[in-house]
Amino acid sequence: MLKIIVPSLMLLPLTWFSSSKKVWINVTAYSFLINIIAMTTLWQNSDGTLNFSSMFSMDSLSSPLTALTIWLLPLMLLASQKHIKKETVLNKKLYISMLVTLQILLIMTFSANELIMFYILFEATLIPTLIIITRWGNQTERLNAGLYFLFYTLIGSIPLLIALISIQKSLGTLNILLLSLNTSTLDNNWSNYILWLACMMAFMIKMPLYGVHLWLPKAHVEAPIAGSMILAAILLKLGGYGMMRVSIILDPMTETMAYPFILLSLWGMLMTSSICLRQTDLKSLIAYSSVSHMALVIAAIMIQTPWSFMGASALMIAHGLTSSLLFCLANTNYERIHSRTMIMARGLQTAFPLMATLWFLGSLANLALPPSINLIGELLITITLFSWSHLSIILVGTNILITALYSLYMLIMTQRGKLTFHMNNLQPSYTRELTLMMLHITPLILLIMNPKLILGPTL
Amino acid sequence: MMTLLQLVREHWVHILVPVGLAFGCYLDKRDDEKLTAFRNKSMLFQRELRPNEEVTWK
Amino acid sequence: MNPITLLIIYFTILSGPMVTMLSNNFFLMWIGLEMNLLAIIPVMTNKSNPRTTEAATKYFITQATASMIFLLSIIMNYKQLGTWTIQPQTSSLTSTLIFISLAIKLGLSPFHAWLPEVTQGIPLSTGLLLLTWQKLAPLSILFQVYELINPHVLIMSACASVMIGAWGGLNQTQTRKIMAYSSIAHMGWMISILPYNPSLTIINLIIYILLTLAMFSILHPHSFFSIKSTSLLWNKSPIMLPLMSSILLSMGGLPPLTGFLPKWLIITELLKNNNQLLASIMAILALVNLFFYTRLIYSTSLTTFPSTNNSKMFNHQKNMKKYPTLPLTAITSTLMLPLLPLML
Repeated sequence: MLKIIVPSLMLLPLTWFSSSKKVWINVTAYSFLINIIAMTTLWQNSDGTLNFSSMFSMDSLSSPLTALTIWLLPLMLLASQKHIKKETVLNKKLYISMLVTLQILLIMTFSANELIMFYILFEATLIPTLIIITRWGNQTERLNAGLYFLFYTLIGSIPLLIALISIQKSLGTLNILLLSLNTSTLDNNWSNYILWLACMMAFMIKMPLYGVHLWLPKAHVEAPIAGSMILAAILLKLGGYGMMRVSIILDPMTETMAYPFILLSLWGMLMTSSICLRQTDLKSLIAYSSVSHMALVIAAIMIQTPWSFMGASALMIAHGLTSSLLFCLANTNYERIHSRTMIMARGLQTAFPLMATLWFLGSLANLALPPSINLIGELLITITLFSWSHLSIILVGTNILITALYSLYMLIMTQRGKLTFHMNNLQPSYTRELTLMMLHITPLILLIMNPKLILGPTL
Repeated sequence: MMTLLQLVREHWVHILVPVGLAFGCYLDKRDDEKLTAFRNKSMLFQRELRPNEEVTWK
Repeated sequence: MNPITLLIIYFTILSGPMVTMLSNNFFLMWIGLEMNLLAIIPVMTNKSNPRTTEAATKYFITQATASMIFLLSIIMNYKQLGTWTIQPQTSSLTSTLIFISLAIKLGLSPFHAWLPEVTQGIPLSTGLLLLTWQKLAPLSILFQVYELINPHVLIMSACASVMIGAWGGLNQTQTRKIMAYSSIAHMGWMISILPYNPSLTIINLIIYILLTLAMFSILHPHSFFSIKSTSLLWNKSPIMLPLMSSILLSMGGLPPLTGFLPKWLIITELLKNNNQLLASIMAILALVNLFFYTRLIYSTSLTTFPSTNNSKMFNHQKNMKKYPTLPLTAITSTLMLPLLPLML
């Protein structure tokens, strides 16, 4: 594990000691190189756990998420070059250091062995994210968005801390590897209901569940591009990852407690995708589509069958890449049009045909068309939901339809039609941007060759 | 000589990440050795030592 | 003030709590408290203006009342038990009176009202003294007599202090008042754990003092009196921006920073004693504190100009006092969480 963490730590002095011209290229190149080391953890041969030390271990659930985290750092660097081009060198270096710190913290979060350590690192990721959102966002609303982001997460996670400590008191350990050997079960009584809620609520707010999702569109809309990317791709997945981890402890309780939350997430999935249909703001649309996709993941985790866990982890990876891709695409538009409103950016197909192709691929991935890994995730989740209750097909089926509708709506609004009169001074797409999009799309399509890599704990 | 010095001054940062990797690998290896040091002491994982092999747990 | 007077005064301020801490005799403890009180009044009124006089008067009246209650209770104790030392047979009336007097000294709720007022009236450096050094003597007495005091009284007062510290600070725009309310909240955390594990009170006190020292070593040299004035920090010394925000987040108790350490230990200890409700209430209320620290962070470091200042506005930086304590306190007050195993 340290062979990934120590080089990532060394990215910080690399950032600060590089000459101002070479900051971007050095950090991007070396973070790509660190990817090569991280890819080795994807090889999970025996479905056991790779124990790195007494503190860190990685299994087939956490390794794809870690690999995704490490994969995204160079992509974030590529994406945000234009955004902070005009800042001073010091500020640029500070920005890069924040992204690198976030990466280190996230790697440690996903590979932490102890749940309290997981909790501390889970909270630690808030600080760099808060700084990225509120320091480098574009408008004054970013301050409010930062507060929402911070306090929604914290209010959920304080009961989690208390629940974890009291579980440690009763079981004597919070080590994930030892907890799976734990045989004691929770009885159905009120204090255990509260324990279940306390353990799950933090992660459900992070996911986010419909009803406590209000921080997410705000944070996404106001964050700079790297903030949106990391939020959509990794930070939301922390919630799903945490839910899968703590569900070991809460074993028989989930069956009774899950109903309202499965219903809420299924209903919320429909609601948020309908909200997407009447969105005018591009980033907001992508943010709500994240909420709707994450609702599927919540429902799948709540059902707690092997297939649903596989579907949930596949959809988390797939959605990480897809939403990050869509945010990058939205950002390239924003950097040219200087507005997030879709009606201001019509007809871009005629101006950027190659970018339009990438938009097309991105929208198709978002609506889970076959060669993408989104399909595996959504398919597995739909099947498990169907076997859980046949009636759920009505909600899930409608949602798949609406997802297709709003993905096409987004594509048509931005790409088709005539160029408007104010778009007479568009810069062509840079190679940097096209590379960025390809680096998102390639794993999205190539992973279909061996989906076991991202299916998590296949039993 | 001067150009070499200049090259070093400009490009020394490239050593940082490889050094970090080497150091990380070394630490990992040491940690593994520490965790597996007792293997010849345990009844479960014990095996016959080869003629000139030393015991890891003394 | 002439140097000799100053020397005597500061020596008395230092030696007062020392006397209290080192004695096991109630009467000597009282003498230490009084020495400390009498010596700090001239320091408070050093720069004479109506605000400092008012603050010093308020401070004197509250503290003198507290000292008298303390004297009353120890005399009652002497009359009942015939000794000045701490005895387990102390009656509950006496021990409650002792707690009341110490609560007034510490600014614990419901006797907190003087603390923000006094802190607002005096200079920042004296404020630092008031919020850190002045807590030592009463806390050391409490640390010795905690077994005598009814734990319900302690916990009620602690819970109320955490609430007051959280809600009182919400509406403040003055940095000194914010620090005072944060002090009340921290005192609440310290007292809440006193009946269960008093050594955690000391750890919490040390970390609280480090945090306050670090905060004041930024506030004092730049003379930041209100939230509005802190927004000039980016211009005065940009390197302080990340420092100040991390110190503030640490005060709020956000996990990877030192401020989380005492909160974590206290929550663990409270849960071990089956006090889940108090732990939850205090932890949730700590978020309110974090909220107004976040406002300070926003105004200092997160809403700065995108570029550095190019104009020649450096004249006001020349005479700035540098605090030698800042590097040490800033590092210990943010990055000490991994050292937790060494502290237990």
